Amino acid sequence: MNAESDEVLLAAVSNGDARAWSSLYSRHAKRVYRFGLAMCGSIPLAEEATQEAFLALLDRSGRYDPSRGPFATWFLGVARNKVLGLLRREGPRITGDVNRATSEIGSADPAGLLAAEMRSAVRGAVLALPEKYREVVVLCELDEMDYAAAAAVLECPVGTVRSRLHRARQMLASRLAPLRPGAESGVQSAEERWQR
Amino acid sequence: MTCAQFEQAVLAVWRGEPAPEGFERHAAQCAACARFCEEQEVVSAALASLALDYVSGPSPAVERNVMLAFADASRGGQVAPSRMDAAKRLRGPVWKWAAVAACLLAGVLLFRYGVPGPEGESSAQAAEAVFYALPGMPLDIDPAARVMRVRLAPSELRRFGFPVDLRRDAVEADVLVGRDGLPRGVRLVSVSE
Repeated sequence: MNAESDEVLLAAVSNGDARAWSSLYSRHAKRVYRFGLAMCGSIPLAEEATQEAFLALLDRSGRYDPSRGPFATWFLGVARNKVLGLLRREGPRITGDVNRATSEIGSADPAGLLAAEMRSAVRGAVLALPEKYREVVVLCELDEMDYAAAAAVLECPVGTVRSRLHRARQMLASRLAPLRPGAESGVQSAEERWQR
Repeated sequence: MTCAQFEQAVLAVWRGEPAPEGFERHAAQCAACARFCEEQEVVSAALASLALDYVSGPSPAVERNVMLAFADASRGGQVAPSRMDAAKRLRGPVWKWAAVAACLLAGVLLFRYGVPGPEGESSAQAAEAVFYALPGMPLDIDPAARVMRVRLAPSELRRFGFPVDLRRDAVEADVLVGRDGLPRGVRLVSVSE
């Protein structure tokens, strides 16, 4: 099932094949959504970006050139443009949406709540990064994409991806310093708060 | 190898790329770079902890909208209202801000581009029959309400939840304006090619 390549599905879509369209959606929607969620920190914006990316695909499927790389990379580039457009239109929106997307809410377990607190701090640090640094972190770290693929999505040289990731990680290191083992605040103080 | 070269190389090495010459020696001898590695290990662990955040996918409403859009496009018609209604629901948490934006936009457009609408369209009964209420603006129109015709970008109308094909250039719409000058409702009039 679902063994056809993206290119085959795309050709079928252009012939009005709804099943092929559904397969393309199943194959790529989650990744696009996760990219949007990590970039925006907002479930409604991530869903809107996903929807907009697929709408754009309906109009632009003919613009995909297989000789320039995999469809998945090209489509993530389309989605990225939608996400950046939404971010420019809506402005930065750091909300608690992603917190609601995870399931430990309601847990009475202090360790679970502590982990949630830490993740919230990390999430905030990622969302606070400038866009051009945030997107390399999202692609290379959260999506575990290799530098070459990330460069294709971002339409920039691989060296730019490397240097932006390096800079982004430096910024994160400084913002996450309180979470380091032995730091005076952050993890240890949070643990102490739970023990009181 | 310099510290700057080491810092540039270490992330790639952690990702499985071969270590450049002198990398191991520098790592063993340089206290500053050892500290840099410790900091970066914290960053790696912190980012790995976010994996739980990104296991879910979009809600079924998104898939429904996308499938409906495909059906619309296959028929060569306009975007279906049902999909746009679903899109509105997707944006529920930010809707009140869109409402403010809608009112501001419509107000500005009315002052800049407004022209009188069809005669007899200013009564409350007629308005309630044909106009969509703007979010947060009830259609409790008094007889002094006016209808103004404006041209809007499809993308703007689409944001307010109207069934407009984004591939069109512009949309004519009637805006119902209350005695206080604030827009209360909108209806689509025509779509320009």
